[in-house]
Amino acid sequence: MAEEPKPLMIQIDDKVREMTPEEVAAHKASIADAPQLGAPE
Amino acid sequence: MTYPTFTNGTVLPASDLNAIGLWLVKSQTVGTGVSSVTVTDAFNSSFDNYMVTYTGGVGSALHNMRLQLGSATSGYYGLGIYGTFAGTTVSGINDNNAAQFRYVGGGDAYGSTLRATLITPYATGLTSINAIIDTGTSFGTYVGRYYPDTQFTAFTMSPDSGTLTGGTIRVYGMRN
Repeated sequence: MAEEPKPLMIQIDDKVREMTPEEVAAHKASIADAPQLGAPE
Repeated sequence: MTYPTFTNGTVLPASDLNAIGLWLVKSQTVGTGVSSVTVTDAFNSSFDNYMVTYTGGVGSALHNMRLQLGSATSGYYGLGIYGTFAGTTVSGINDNNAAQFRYVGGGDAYGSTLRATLITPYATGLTSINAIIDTGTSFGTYVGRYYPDTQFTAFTMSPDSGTLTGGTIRVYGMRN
């Protein structure tokens, strides 16, 4: 049985909560174009 | 110059205390499996310049660490110069009106860090940053600037892959 993906969590100072759908969309957009630095050959 | 040594029960001269260079403004523990951490009340009028560190935590995946000032989602410019431990080739990575400073730390499952100096994030003047790139495989330095001149009190740190668990973010003010 496939595991459900874990919700994305956001922390603001001491408070940790699930991201809202809008925050999830913004977060995914922000990491969509994030070139990884070169890995060792 | 002779640096003071403080002992319990002795009078602390104002001149000694006023010479203390770094002041811990805020300390924030990072939770478990978080995709971002926002630190509010980090910057204020007491200090022009700050040092920000994140240590003691780990990432769920290899990641670069990003830093966003306040709620600003554009206007970040910078250049990182880095290499990997496997060789001596030096490469560059840039932020050209990016949504945040994108290469100001990093890590992996063995450890994650952010080591940055921020110039005038609150005081008048453009906010500048210099930071260490360290993903555990790639190492280098990053220098950047945010346009326009904006007064920030908070920042958000986040990995560009996976989540962070544990560790502490510390913000130190550099005495003016």
